[in-house]
Amino acid sequence: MSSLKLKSAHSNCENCPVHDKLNLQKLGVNAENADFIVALAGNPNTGKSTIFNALTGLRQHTGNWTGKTVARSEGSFVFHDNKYKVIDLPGTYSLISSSLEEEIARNFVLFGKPDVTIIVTDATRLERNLNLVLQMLEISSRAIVCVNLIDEAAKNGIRIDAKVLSRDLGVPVVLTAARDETGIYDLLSAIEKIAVSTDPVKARTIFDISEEISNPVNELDAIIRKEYPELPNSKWLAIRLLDNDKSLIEALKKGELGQLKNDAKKAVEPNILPQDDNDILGASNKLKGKLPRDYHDKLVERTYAEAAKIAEKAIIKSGEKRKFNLDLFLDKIFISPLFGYPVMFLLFAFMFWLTIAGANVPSALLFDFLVSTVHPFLKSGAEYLHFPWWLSGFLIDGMYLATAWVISVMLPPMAIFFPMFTLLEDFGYLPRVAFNMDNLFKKAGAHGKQVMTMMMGFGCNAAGVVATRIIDSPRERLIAIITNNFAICNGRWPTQILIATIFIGALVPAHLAGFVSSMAVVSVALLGVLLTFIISWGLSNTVLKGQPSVFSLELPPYRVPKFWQTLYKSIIDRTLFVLWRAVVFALPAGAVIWLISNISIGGETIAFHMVHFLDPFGWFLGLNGIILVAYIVAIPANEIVIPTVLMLIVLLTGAQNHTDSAGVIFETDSIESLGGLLKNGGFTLLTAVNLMLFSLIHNPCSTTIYTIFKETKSLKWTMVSTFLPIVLGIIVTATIALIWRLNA
Amino acid sequence: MIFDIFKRKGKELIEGSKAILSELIPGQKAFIKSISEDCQGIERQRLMDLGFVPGSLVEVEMRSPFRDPTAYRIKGGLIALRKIQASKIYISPAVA
Repeated sequence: MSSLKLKSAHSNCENCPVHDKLNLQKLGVNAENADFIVALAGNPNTGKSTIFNALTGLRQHTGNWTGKTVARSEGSFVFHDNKYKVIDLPGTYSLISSSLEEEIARNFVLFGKPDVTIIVTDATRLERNLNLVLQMLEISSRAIVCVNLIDEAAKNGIRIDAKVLSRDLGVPVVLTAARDETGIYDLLSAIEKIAVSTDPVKARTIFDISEEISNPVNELDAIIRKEYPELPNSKWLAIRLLDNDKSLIEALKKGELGQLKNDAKKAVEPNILPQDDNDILGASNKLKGKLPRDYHDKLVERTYAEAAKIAEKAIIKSGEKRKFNLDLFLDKIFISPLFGYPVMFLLFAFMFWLTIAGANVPSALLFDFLVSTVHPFLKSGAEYLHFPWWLSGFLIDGMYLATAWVISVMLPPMAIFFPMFTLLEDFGYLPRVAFNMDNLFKKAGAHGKQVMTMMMGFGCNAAGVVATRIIDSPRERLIAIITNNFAICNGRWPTQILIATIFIGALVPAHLAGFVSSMAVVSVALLGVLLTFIISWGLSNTVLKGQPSVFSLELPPYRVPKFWQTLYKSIIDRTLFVLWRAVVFALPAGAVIWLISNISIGGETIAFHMVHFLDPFGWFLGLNGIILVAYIVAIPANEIVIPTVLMLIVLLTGAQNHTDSAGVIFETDSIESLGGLLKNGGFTLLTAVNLMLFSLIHNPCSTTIYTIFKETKSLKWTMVSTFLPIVLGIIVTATIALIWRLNA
Repeated sequence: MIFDIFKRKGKELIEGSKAILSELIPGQKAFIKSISEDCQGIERQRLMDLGFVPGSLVEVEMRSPFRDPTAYRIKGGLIALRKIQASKIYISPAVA
C-alpha cells in the first residue's frame, strides 16, 4: 500500500485542494485489484448516483446483484495512488423492512465489509434520511455521512452544521453539492482517512428505551458475546434477532456469523459449529416472549426520535425562503385538475411525434448504409472469396440482412425516445404522472407507477419490463410485467403505420387519408391501453389476488437534469442494452427466414409448405398463412414482420421484379407499389384490420419473453405473459373475422 | 357499507381515536398519533420508514385530480398515500 500523501509538505500550490483534486483519477469500469472497497448507501432521490459519477466518472459497470433483479453499479477511482472500488448499493429508506433492496444493502455492509461506507443524505430531508444513517451506524462505524444537495437546501433557507452533526453521529460529515462537484475533494479526503485507518469496526451505541425491552436484549447480547467476543455489533444483532429478522436468522443457521468479526477480512473458514448458533437462536426464541407486543414499532420510533433530536441541532434555518417556490408553481400546473391531463397528453404526444418524425431520417440513412451499401458490398466480397451460394445466402442474406433491418428500424427511435424519457424521469415529472394516474390504475388493482413502465413499453417492451423494478410492490409489479406487451412497441409502430396508410387511408378521399390513417393507429394504441386496464383488473382479481401489495410513491423535488450525463447514461443503459438483446435474437431469426425460403422439400420451399399448412387457420383469423409464418419466424423481433411478409409474398407469387424493393419501403412514392404487392398476396381490408389488431395482441417478442423470465425468475409468469396475449389475439381476430364475413 | 361503519366505530372505541389522516384537506396540519392495528407487515413498516411515526408533523400538500391519492409533506419529503392507507393513520390536531 502506498504512503499517504495528504500531509506531505509541498509548496502551497500543491497543497491547495484545486491541485489535489487532480490527484483524482476516475477509472470507470477498470476495477481490478482495488486497495479499498467503498460502499455507497442512501435514500432514493438523494443524488446518490451523482456522487457516484463524481467519484468514478460515467463509465461504470452495471449489472445485477448475484441472483437478484436489483441493479448493481460498480466503478473505481485512484486517489493518492490508492485504488478504490465503489459499489453503489440500492437506494433504500431503511434497513429493516425486508424488501430485497434493503436486504442487499444491509448484507453488503454487514458481510461484504466495505472499508468505507458513504451514506448519502439529502440536506433538505435530513431528518428522514438520518433514520437510515442511524441504522447504518449501528452496523458499522467505518462510515462517512455525506450531506448532499446543500445548494438546494440553501435555496430553501436551510444550512447544515457539519461539525455539530459529526459530533452527534460520531463519524465524519461532509457537505456536498455533487452536481457541480462542490465538496467532492473533502469527501475524497474523508474516504482516504477512514480507508487507511486501522481502527476496528465499531458499532454505534444503541440507546435503550425501556427496561421492558432492554432486559431481554441485554440477556441475548450477553449470550452472543460469549460465543463471538469479537463481534462489533452484537447488541444490534440481538435486537434484530428478537425482531424476527428472517435473513439474519438464515445467516445464523448457515454459520455465516463468524464472518462478522473484525479479523475476518481474509476468507474465513466456517469454523463455527452450527450448534453454537442454534443456542443463540433458541435463546432468542425464548426471550421473544418477554418482549412487549409493539416491540418493533418502539424500535423504529426510538430511531426516529433520535434522528429528530440530532436533526434539530444540526439544521440551521435562516428563514429566508425564496419568495417564489418553483416546485409549488410547477405542481400547481402538473397536478391541477384543469391543466394536469392536457399538459400530460400534449407532452407525451410531442414525445411520440418527435420519436417517430425524428427517427425517419436517421432510420433511412442507416438503412441506406446497411442494406443498400454494405449488403451488396458483402455479397460481392463473398463472391470474390468464392463463398458457395448457400453460405453467402445464409450469412449475408439471412443473418446480416435481418439484423441490419432490426438495427435501422430500432436504433434511431430508441436513441431519441429513451433519453427524453430519462430526462422527464430525472426532472421529477414522471412521478407526478404516476400521482395523477394512480386512481385509474388503483381501480384496475395496479400501481400508479405502471404508467411509467407502460410509457417505456411504447419504446420497447423489454425495457418496459426492466423498468417495472421501480414498482416495489410484488403484485403490482407482476401486473405491470404481464400487461406491458399491450403497449405497442417501437417494432410494431411501423407495421401499424404502413398497413393503416395503405388500407385504411385508402378508404377516404386523399386529403383525409393522412388524418384517418393516423387516427386508426392511435385507436389501436388506445385499445392497447384499454386492454392494459382490463387485463390488470382481471389479473388482480383472479390469479394475483393473494400476492402481497403495498403502495408508496415519493414525489421528489423538481431538478434540472444533467443533460449530457442523462443522454449518455440512457443510451448506454437502455438503448444499447435493448439493441444488443435484439441483435442476439435477430441473427438466428434471419438464418431461419433464409433457410425456410431456400430449402426445398418435394420441389417446394419449407416456407411454401408452412404457408399452405397455416392458410386455413389464418383464414379463420381473418389473416392468412403468410402473416402467421411471418409472426412465427419473427418472434425474435417485431421489426422484421413486414419485411418477412413481403419476402414471403415475393417468394410465393414469384413477383421477381419486387425482389429489390425491400430497400425502398420507407419512401412514400413506393407505398403504392407496396400496397399492390400486398394485395397481390391476397391482403384485403379485413386482413389489414386484423393484422393491426394481431400486431397489438400477440405474444411478446422473444427478447421480451427472455427479459420477463429474467425479471420474474418464474416459468409460470413467463408462460402467462406469453400465452395470455396470443390466446386473446386469436379470440379477438377470429370474432372480428366471423362478424365481418356474416355481414359481407 | 353499514357494517364497515360499525367496524370503524368499534375500532375507534378500542383505539380511542377519532381523527384520521385521510380526513384532512390540503393546507391542514396534524401530528401523527398512531397507525391502526389493521395495518401490519411491510405496509406498516413502509409507512414508518417514510416518516409516519407517532409525533411527526404532517401537512396535506395536494390531492391528485381524481382526489386520490393525496401527497403529504412529512419530515421534508413529499409522500403520496392512497386514501385507504391514510385512513389507517390516526392524528391529533396540530397547535398552529
